[in-house]
Amino acid sequence: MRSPILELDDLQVHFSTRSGELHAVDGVSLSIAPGETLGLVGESGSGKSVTARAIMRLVPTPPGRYAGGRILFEGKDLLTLSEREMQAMRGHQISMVFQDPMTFLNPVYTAGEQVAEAIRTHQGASRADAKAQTIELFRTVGIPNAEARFSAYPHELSGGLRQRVMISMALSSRPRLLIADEPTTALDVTIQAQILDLLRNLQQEFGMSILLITHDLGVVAEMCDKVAVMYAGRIVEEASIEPIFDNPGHPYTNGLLEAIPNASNDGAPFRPIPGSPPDLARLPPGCRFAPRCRYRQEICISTPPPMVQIAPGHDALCHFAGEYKKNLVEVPTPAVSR
Amino acid sequence: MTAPITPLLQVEGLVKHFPLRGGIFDRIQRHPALVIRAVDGVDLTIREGETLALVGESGCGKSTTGRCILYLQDPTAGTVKFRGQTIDPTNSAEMRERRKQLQIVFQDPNSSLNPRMSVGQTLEEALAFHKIVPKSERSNRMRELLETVGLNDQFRNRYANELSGGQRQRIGIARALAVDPEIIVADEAVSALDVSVQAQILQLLTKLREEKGLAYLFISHQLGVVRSIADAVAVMYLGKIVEQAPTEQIFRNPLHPYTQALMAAAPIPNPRARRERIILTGDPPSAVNPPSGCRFRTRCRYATELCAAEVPELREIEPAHLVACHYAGDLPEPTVL
Repeated sequence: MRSPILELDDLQVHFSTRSGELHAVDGVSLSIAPGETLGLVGESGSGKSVTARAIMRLVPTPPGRYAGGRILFEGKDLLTLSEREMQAMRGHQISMVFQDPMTFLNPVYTAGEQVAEAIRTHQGASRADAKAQTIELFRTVGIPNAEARFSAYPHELSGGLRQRVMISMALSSRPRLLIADEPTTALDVTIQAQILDLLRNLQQEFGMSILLITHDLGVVAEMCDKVAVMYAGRIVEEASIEPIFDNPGHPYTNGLLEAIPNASNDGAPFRPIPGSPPDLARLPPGCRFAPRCRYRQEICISTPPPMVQIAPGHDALCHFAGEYKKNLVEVPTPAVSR
Repeated sequence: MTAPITPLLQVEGLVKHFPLRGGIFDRIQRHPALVIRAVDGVDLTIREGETLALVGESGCGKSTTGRCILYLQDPTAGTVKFRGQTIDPTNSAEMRERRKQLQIVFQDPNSSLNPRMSVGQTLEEALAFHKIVPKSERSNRMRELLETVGLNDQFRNRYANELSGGQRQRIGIARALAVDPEIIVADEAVSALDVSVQAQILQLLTKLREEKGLAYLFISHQLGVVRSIADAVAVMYLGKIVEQAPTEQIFRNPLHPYTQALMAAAPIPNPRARRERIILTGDPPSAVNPPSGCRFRTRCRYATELCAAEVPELREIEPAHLVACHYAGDLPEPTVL
């Protein structure tokens, strides 16, 4: 085994709110090997974006709080770094790409100036050198007319081009790890295909690891080596790509897959997961997914499930991990909404 | 291609141009006024109980088409016929009647629900305005509506901010159903929802179609969703329909290069899926100044001189399968999905 580039060890990120302390990230452990792409999948509110921000130490404190665990980047715990040391890490060793480039890019500077500034900050390059590097990067990420686009303001660029600008900035320092938080969610499918293709090519070229945060299992299937599925602040299943799709070990993963209307088959029936994710302030005592689970039993409602190994490298947080289908009689699903 | 029975809804030659106000210098120098050709000659037909999906990327004019059909925006040209009768937007009595038959559900229930009105007030407004039931009956009718969309009666006292995304969308649907419409324009109605909740709403829409015989104009960019719900699909690009066919036909045998690229671009949730990767280069061109001839030609890998010179008309390539491409049917088949 190669030693992982990033390892989260029982990470806890809490937020204090009026309804009490919310455990947005509640004991998340995962690891990414060099050159690997890990997909972090979950629905809104599952804690996947907070996890990503926590790695960059970008969770606002307060109201947030790193309440426990470790974030090991090449063996070094990022939570112990000073803000100054962390700044040297951010955008240098670890970069991040966000869903909405318009809120990321500064509207009063040209796209090129912003990327060049990042290069000057991190590499101490001269102005002219930074500009040349920026134009080169723009070419690498497939921005047509790279020279002219250097002086374009963000509002003059299309969504796809803005995303490319953001990616070029993230890559300017040749990071070891790229965190991409829903990088294509706001884009049209044809543009999404371009950006995913670009990320794949750049990964090969730069040999970096990618943590890809998405709610789209289609994107995961095309991009990832490994998948971690998150639900209500916890990883409920982790495995390499094939078992997740062929033989999901957790009923939630199974439910997610069943809920996708698929364009590639004969409009096979899809099946919604009833209800909605729990309120983090009022979590059920047992398994957090139990109220929505078609296969739940008594024990699921009363006792939190352990992480069960289904096969080496394939774990699920379920009393009946990997066996929920064959061993259990389906319980009727509750009313469509409560 | 005339249907034996009068279709429920017929849209003919729909055009919507938005004037672009130039700066003062443009006006002094009398530059010709620029327009955004959002919708540029669209024909659509929806039969009783049918679901027609209108598919395309952002900016292609699909939402504008939906709004023009309801006269939420006045079309620049074209007619909308309901049961064979042309809708006259200047006749307010008639429009009031039409709005009972034609309803819309929006993408973002956050901005389409009034945050200061409870669910009950929202539904009551629709019932009262259209005088659907006598006042004494309204409460009962509201309970029925909530039940229809899978919510219990207690929801009538809630406000939009107390609801989850899926619940809000159910209220949006209940409001549309309040007037017993015959057609619902669903404009990206499930796009903003998480996949598990999205499936719930799709199931609800399907159930309503079966129970009430509703017809939908289902505007969406999600091909998977479209395949699961639509009877027929129309693909739009830069203000024009480029391909239209029954759902299975268009998914099995897309004939327009744009449709082929769209389908190839949609990620498949199966890591073993093998297919040809068609990556379109560039972005869709501007609707202010669309390319001559075929509007897709600037991104099309098969484009020739003919495509720049002549606008391709929609032609029937196989029964009920219309394609606006000079080479439709003669292009190499893309690898089957």
